[in-house]
Amino acid sequence: MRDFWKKTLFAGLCLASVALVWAADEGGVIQRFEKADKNGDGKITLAELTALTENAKRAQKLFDRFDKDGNGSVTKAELKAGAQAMMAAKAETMKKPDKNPAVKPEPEKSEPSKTDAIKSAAATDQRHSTRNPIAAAAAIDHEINLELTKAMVPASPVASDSEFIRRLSLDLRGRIPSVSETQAFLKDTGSDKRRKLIDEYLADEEYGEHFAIIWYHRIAKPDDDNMRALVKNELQPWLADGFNQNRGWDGIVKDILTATGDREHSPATTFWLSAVNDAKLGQPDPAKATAAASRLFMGVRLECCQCHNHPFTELKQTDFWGTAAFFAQTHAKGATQKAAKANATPDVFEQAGVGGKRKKKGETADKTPPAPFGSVAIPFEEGKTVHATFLGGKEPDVKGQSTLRPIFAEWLTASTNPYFARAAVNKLWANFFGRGIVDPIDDMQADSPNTHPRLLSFLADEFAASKYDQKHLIRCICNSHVYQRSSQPTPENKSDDVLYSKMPLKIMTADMLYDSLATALGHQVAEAERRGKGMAGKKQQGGPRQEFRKFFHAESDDDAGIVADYSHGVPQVLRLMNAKQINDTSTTVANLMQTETKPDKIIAGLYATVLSREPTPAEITQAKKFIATDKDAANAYGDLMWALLNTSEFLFNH
Amino acid sequence: MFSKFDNSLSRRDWLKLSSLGALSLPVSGWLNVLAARAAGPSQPKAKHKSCILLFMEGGPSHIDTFDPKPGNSSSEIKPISTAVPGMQISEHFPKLAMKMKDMALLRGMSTGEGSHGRARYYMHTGYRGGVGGVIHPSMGAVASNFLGRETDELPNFVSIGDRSYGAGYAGPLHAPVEVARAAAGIENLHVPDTMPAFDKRTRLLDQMEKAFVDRMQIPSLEAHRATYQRASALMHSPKSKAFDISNEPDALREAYGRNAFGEGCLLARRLVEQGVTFVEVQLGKWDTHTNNAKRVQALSEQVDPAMSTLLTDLKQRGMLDSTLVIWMGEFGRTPKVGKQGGRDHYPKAWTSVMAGGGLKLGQAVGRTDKEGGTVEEGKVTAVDFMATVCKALGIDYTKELHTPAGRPMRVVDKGEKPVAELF
Repeated sequence: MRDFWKKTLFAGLCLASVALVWAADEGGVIQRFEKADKNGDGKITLAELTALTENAKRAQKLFDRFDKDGNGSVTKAELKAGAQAMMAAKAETMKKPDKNPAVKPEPEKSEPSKTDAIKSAAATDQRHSTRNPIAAAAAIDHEINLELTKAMVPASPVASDSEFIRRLSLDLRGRIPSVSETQAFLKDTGSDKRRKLIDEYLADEEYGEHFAIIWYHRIAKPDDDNMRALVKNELQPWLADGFNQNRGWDGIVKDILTATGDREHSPATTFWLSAVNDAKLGQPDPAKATAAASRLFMGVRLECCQCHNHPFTELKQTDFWGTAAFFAQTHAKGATQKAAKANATPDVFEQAGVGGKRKKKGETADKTPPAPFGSVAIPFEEGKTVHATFLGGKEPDVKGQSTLRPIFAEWLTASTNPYFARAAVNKLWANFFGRGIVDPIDDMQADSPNTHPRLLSFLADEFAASKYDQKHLIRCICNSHVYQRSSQPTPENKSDDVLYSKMPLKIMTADMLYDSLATALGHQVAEAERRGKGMAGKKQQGGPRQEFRKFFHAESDDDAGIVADYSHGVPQVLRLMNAKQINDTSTTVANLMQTETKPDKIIAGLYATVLSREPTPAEITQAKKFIATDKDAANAYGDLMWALLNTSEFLFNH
Repeated sequence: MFSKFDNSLSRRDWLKLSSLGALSLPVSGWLNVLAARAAGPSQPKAKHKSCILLFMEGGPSHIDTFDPKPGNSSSEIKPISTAVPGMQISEHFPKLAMKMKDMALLRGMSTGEGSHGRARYYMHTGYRGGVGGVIHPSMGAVASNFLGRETDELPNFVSIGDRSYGAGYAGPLHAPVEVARAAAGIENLHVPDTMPAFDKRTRLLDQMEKAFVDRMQIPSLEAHRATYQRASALMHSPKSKAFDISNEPDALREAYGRNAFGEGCLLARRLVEQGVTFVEVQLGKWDTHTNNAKRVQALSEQVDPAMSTLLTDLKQRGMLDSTLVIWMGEFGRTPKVGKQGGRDHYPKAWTSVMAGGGLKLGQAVGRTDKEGGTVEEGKVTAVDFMATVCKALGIDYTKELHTPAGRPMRVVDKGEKPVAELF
């Protein structure tokens, strides 16, 4: 044994492997410790370790890692704790054929698409990346595990197939998997089935529809001022198509930021209509647009310095208005309250020298004189104008230009831009893990806590190098062991909230809950709506979905797109428990009772339908006991399903 | 480390939740603990003050309600005398005129937001909306936060009407329970079948929930559990009858008025009586750009019986001193009537009303000019107003709360001057 680990050491494998092998069995740790402890004082010094490893440099590194209190010696306890942490972190990596996790991914060796799903994905995929997501996933694991090892926090084990399919379906398609999808996946014995499922869901139209819902509500935020310009939702199907065709994120954002034309033919103008700040004037407000653009696409809350310099960061008031200057000559026609009453479709255009009435009745008149081309006047600060300036201080040459937004969009989406890729990556990461690498996700200031700076940079580089290929980025994340970890804590990682030792729990968003209830209850209407002919099925704005969304929606939901914490109040819970229309279990129960006769099978069917897993033997016993108390079996099964639907296990994505 | 807890469900909230006892309970019956408590002897009455906000959505004309201007040629109402010598209000408020000793008029409101949405936000929170990327808690959420009781089966904040002003960064625990129509009560309070059947399936849910919660050990799950407890307790509680106005005597229902607003005011009294901290009742359609005179009269005829009966009712039950009643819109309306026969938005000078709450009443604070166009004395800003409400309710408005991003934020913005004459 000792020879083996010494050989391994000399073979020069990475440090964590050494510790792993060293700690391969817990009893052995003590034995080897005693061997290393030449003078038998209960501690290992650096010298003793060097003698053992016969490599001073490695011994030093290893020693530093274990000597947590830095007192120059390693005790048995320190050794054991360190070894355990490394073992847990490394255990997953060792399961892969790829023993040496690459930090830099290499181009994927040509591997023909195997399933129809993948083929169809490649066919519509505008930028099917040639980069290797598996290698990038390994890099993610490497970075995350490194921090876990440092903190001596062990990782939770790999999620079961049930956990995985439910989580992936919610994260990529916005709903739980159907019972047949779950059963097919659980039966599949292929070793590559998780990777295939990721590809399959990315090729599913519901993928684009789900991300379109997220981004639509981030972009179109109706308030009393802009709601009439946003009555129709043409943006969501547009976004869904973009995501499903896997357009580059840079292209989508450029279209949004430079959008002109009427909302029906140019849905991306919705961003500008959402910036309307007075229903009577119906004009996009450069300040409102600046706040939105910086938050959504740069991960910076510039609006914090709209009125004054930011108290905690380097941001100045002129940073806000420097960006706003790019948007100052964007105008709208037909976006007023009056026009909306006449059923006009609003139209956005950019033109210099067009002024708008910006004063409201009863308010102090804004006596600010109009600013020259390329500048914006700060309202109510007479004579104070700011030139169009990129965040960071560079002023573009606007001479000879007629439009300013394209200049800003080019700057923002360039591969060298310091904000764009990082903001996108951080937001997407939060989508899966409930928090950003930098948190809060839309406030990525230098002083915001960044738990894994190297990982963020790596993913941003990978995203930029893939030409902002979102499906590729998702493959990188979802194929990682970090993503595929169980959400169940171990006693040692229970209190870890930031190191990804386990998958964090996220409460379903209102839309996820709506579609998941529909899936579980077998609502045909919802199914038809989703599979609507030739259109992104989830686009309908009115109707039951909107009503449901309004009721269950958390206020903080839209900007972040993530709701990690419990967000329901008493009214929501009363509805979940007592509203017949959302817990009518009769269809599902009747179907199950028709196809199955044995109680065990019906119970298993209900568990698979609602929780995407098989019941434990104890749960079957419990359920059978419950069923036996009711003469009306259908009623009892209905109650069982009601209970399942009201568990937090259903309500949370875990 | 605990950034998760700082979000919508704060760490403090979580501690409060766990103080419900959910954590330390034996395997069975967590869902019904509060229910059992609710069925038992009722808890002592709240010692803190309560608040009923009558919100006039759309912005009522001050000139045609509580600040009549006979000298203004556009004025279409006659002023009448009130129980307080020298104070006059609209002729459409004969009943309120008799209650003037229980009311104070703030005739110097001057708030500077003339757009409905932003003005409503401003008047509900004391902060301008959309600036700084923060959603501020509304008055009701602030009251719930500082005065509410977590262990009561009734909610702390109820909003009656079309729309509600939410908890913002104060989090979902302080969000209002919404009642769309007072006469219909709270939605989904009753089971589709029977309570014994409900209890039976919640016992099963108990068992299932326990297993998952034990496995996961996440505060969010405790919040789920606590909310189900509260909902279940409310369903079982005799106090939930507070939501049912049908048991009130016919004469009283007539006095309040058999319309949505009158019923809302009656429901508000019932809720406050049972210990609810804050109730908002809305009355819309005050946006009288056209046909001002007739519309104001029709709306006034709803306000007059409802609000005067509310004050009488509260007084008779010994609750008026501990209940602050606020009447306000989001702004006033122009001193001139336009071509279309209406008045437009006017935040520069307008009137709000406070009643009860142990304040110095029977007075008008502040004065506008002859036309009702500018404030000559006793100017009250939105921030001053919010501070006044907080002070009246005994809330320390200089306290700081923390936004989800960790930014400290005063309950009421700096520069506040609560209306001294009221205290």
